Amino acid sequence: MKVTAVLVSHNGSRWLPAVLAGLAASTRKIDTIACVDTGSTDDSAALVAGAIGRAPLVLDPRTPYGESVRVALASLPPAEPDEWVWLLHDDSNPAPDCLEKLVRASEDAGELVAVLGPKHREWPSLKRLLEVGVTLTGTGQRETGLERGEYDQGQHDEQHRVLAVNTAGMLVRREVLEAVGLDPLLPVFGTDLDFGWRVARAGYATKVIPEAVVFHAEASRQGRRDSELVEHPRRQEREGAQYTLLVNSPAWTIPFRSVRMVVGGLLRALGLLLVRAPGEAADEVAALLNIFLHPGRALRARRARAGTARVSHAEVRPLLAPFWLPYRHGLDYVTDVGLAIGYSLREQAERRRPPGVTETTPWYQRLALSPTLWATVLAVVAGHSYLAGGPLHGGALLPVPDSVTHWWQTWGSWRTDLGTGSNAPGPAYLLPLAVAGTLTFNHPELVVDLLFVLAVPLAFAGGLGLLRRISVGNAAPLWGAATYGLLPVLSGAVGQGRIGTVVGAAVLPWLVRASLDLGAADPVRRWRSAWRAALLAGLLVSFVPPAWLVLVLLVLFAFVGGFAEGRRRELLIVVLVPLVLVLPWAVGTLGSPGAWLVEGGRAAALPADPGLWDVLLGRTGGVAEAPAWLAIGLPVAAVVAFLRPDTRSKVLQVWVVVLAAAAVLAATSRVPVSLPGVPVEFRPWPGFLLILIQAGFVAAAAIAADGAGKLAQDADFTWRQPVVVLTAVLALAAPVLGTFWWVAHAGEGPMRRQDTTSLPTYMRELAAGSSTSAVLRITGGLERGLEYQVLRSGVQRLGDDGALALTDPDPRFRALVERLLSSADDGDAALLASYGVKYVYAPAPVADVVSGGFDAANGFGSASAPVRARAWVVQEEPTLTSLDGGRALLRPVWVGACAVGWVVCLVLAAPERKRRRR
Amino acid sequence: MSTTTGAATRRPALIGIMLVGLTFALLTLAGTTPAGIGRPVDTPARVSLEERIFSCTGGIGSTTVRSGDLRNGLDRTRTVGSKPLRIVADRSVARGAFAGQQALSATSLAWVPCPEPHANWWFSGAGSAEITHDTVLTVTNPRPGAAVIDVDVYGTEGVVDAPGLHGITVSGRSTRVIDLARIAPTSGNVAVSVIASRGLVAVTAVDRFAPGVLGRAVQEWLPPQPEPAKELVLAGLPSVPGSATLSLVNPSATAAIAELEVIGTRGTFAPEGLEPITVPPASVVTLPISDVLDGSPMAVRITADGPVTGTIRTTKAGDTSFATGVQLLGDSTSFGVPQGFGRLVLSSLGKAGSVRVLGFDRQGRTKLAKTVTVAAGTSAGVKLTSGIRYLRLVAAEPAVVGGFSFTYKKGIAAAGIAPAIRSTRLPTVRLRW
Repeated sequence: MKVTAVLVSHNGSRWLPAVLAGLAASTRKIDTIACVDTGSTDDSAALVAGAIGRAPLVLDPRTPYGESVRVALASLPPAEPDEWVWLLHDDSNPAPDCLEKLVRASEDAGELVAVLGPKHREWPSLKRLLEVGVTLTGTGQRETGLERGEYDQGQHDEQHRVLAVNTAGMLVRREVLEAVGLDPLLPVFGTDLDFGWRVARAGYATKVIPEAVVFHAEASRQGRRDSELVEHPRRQEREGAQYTLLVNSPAWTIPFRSVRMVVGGLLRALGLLLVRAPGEAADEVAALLNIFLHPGRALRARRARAGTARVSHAEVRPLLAPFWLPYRHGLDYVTDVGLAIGYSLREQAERRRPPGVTETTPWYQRLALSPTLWATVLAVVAGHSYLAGGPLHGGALLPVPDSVTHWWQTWGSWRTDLGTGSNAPGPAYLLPLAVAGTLTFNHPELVVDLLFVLAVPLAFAGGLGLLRRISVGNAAPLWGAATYGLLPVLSGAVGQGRIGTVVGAAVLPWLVRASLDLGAADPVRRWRSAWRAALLAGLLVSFVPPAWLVLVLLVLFAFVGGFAEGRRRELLIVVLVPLVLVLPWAVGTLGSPGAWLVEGGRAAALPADPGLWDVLLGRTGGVAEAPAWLAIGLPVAAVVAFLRPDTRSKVLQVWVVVLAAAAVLAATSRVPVSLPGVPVEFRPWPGFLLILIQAGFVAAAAIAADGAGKLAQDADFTWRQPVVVLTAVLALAAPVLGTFWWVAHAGEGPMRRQDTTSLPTYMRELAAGSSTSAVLRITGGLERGLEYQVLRSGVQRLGDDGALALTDPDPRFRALVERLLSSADDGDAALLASYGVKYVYAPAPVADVVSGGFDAANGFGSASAPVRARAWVVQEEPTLTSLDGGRALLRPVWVGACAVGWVVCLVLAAPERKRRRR
Repeated sequence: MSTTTGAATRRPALIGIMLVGLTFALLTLAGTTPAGIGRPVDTPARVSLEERIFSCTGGIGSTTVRSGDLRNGLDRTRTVGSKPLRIVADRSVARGAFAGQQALSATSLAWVPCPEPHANWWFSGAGSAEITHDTVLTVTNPRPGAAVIDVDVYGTEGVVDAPGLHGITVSGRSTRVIDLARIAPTSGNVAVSVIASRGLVAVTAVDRFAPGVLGRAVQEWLPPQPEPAKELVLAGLPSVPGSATLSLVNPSATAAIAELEVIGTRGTFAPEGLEPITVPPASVVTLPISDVLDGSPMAVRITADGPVTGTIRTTKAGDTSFATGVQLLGDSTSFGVPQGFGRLVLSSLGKAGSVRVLGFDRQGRTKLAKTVTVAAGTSAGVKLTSGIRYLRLVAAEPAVVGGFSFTYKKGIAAAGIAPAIRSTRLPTVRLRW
């Protein structure tokens, strides 16, 4: 038999000398050689010329591999009966006996075996297996059947039939190669798979001969070769494999394959994003787009293949990878990621193991020693009244909607039917709530219930984690976390239903923790810290917009004080990215900047009028809050903390945060806030800022108290010891007495589980889910004025308040109500119906003007109402023609930008995944 | 060396002191609430009624109506025919509009302001006996929608059981006459309530009273009384003493104990020898208080431990008049007065107050202009000459109540003054937050 080698080179001078030397050392000499160089810019052509004694054929740099081989064959004399072609790459070095083994196998093989391939091992490691034949999965993925980085220990050394073998080192009958041909539409990647598939359809077999070995540098795939044809190796490899699948599969499978490829590709892209591999994710999507946006190419290729097959596709199917293989890979992948996260968590947990827990402590003992568990138990016991009954609402908390869809709509749509129609944005906190509500399988109430029931353990766990990270001892973090954890209940935030403060208190410790690494020397850690801080700040600002002002002040302090040196960009990310994360809402507040001073929850719901002692001790002068004197130890301890010289600088930093919070608090207290939809000027609830100040006190005290006991014992007796002891007693009283107060008074306050009574049940149920069954509710009387409300889908829901607060009242509607209450025109009932209003409801006691007005007006019939209340049904058919139909046309853009912002933040904040080379 | 270490430790300490000081200063600032919190963002003007409708139903002899407003003065006098006279004051004049009806004979003078539509009506001192003492209610629904009313009659023995008194429909722009003696006959003094469960109605009550079996029957309008409450102030007591009876009704299910005080010219006092009055549940009590009224300017205050309302019937020389439960005068109130000469009485319910009194004659000329200062807890009288046809009271702050009494020939008439605000202006209407 005759063996003709075909060597295609392109900028391969790094490997060519070894390749040519290997060829020279071959135990079975080749009979003739044809060399092609595709416009190398290095000395590849010269190297080849030197080795074989004549210059290679030089082709254009953009010549595809298939075309190069065709040209090389054309330059040779016509095929002889038993002529074989040995394809070689400039980066694949055959072992000396490679050709010999292949030739022997070809002699043993039957007539139908047309292609033989060697085993590929990694070059230069020489030990790891790359390929022992390849096939294709149903999602268009090149499949080797090997573990990543598997060492060659002879475990795959068995000749067997495969779909395809790599073109590097492939020994192929010349007549088959010329008859079937390599696809010139494939630049580099996928050529071998496509060729193998078509060879199989032509009735020939491809076998892998593991005794023959080729060392392959995979220069193109690894991006180590300077080539015009290969610019995005990962993407082009995906494209090649997907193209091969689409052009060779039977026509009837194409729709299924397409769907599977698209869905699988998107899932893969998502998975890659979640493990911070945005480049790979982009490649995945780009490959899909490129394949499906150029259907003409695939059609042409299919047409070219039509009629060439000599055996049915059923013969090929066993050679393809089983359908479940991609899913197993997916599962492996998820398991890998999960394990990585688990390991990192375990590592962290072991670094900060609670006292009394060792490596060998059984899990139940560990659990019993976990303070967070005890805090949770206590919270469930104390908050048992929040666990059962009607919907949780009252104070600043409105009832949760029945479906999470309501939150998504209020947050993201460009207009809603709320009230008399609104295009104001929903509050930013609806996004995290909606995500959580979706993840709980459409149980939004569960999210809010848990937030309030577990307000204390959430804040406690975060605080404990943070304090353990910044201090060494055990007692001080425990004290600090307990004191901090109680703040949401003692400040009245839970009792008053202040969702902003509750979430803010839970997020704050994590934000601080994420920010600690902003000072790291390692830029990777610093950047990750910046993105994590930005992400958490975004979450915090969603619930507590005024927190952003504190953030801005702190960054300003850092810039002015020179602490920003070397991390200016990181700080800017922390302060600016949160704006992107609340973008749809932030754009909507341009007209009413007062909204930035108002926390999540119904604005102006309960009066907040704190005095100096209140703000100093973390109280707002409202209902459901603990006596202020309980917290007297905190500011005292925070000031006494300055006595310890070695922690003074840390305490100073904490005080800077306290100062920033106090500055924002002072500023907001001077500015009566007014919002378009809120008819009074009000003082915004300062809950989060107060908690931030208290948190500062706690942190300062905990930092200074860390190991202070021992210091005090060792030191000589001075005036300091009694001061410290007194402070410690006062400071200890805060969490101890606070816990007693909490357990005794939990569940008190305006927020509780109770049925909504603002509408009769039948109206509420008719209104649910329908925009044209709205209720005009009229309250008040002569003394304090009459107030009206349009309840579009039953009672107002959590989040509606935010959108309505930013909506200007419709003056036409107010005039209509005024007319109805004085002397109605004949068309007024129809006008009211055109706002989608079906019922008018006045709860007891009903003012004369209300009952008289609607009784006298035409077009209103009596409707049933509770005792002493009155209700009327509008006799015209309700429509929505008069609603404010204005749309916030750019909202989808902001929503999109915001979503991208969250994804980018999540990806960049995620832990680094150690990527293994495949 | 030591100095630099000292400076290095002192510097953070100094910064610390500054930080703490600054923080406390800011917190002090934060601990004060600036003015303006809770202020309405925009104060929408109270809605003026498009119009004000007075329904003058007459019912006594030849009833004449005196109406007008502050801008245009007195309208021409009209006589009420068989149908009620409807007087509409449009938006421009509604605030200063007034209308009253008067029935005059040689021996009697009757006067009552023409009513405007309301939901709750109470009349005390009524009767429900065919021959001796009967009250006829005229219920007018001046608005286009139908009204539904419930009538309850309280007698000395409790609620008078009568069918057909609940759920009476008064269709739009129509009038219904209810003769209590026919529909709920009983003896003795009764009180009656008309509550509109739907719509608003204007009610006048004509009371025909024959003192003794042989006495000549006298007709008078009963003034509408405020809803039963724990405090009732009756004004509009005659300037000539006669026989007087107090009639109180307690609609609640438990007995109420009421005490009477007189707000006289010298101060507020409880008349000597007058025991606390027990008003049984859902019943009316009547007791003579002729000794209490001496003709001097006064008002009577009833305080009870349950809801009561009522009136004082005064009879002098065969004519009667009724006192009206009143409320504090605020802002500007205008009202017409009957023929003859009389007295305006202003009484302070606690703190001292001053009221500007302006009296106008038929042509709208000012006949009286003086500022009356009423000392705390006292009453003060202002003489009204016979030329005065309507008055305007402007109270600087709500501290006093007012009533007037008139005599013409042998007849007497009295009324309390209802503040106009209730009728003239709607409360503000705004979006609820």
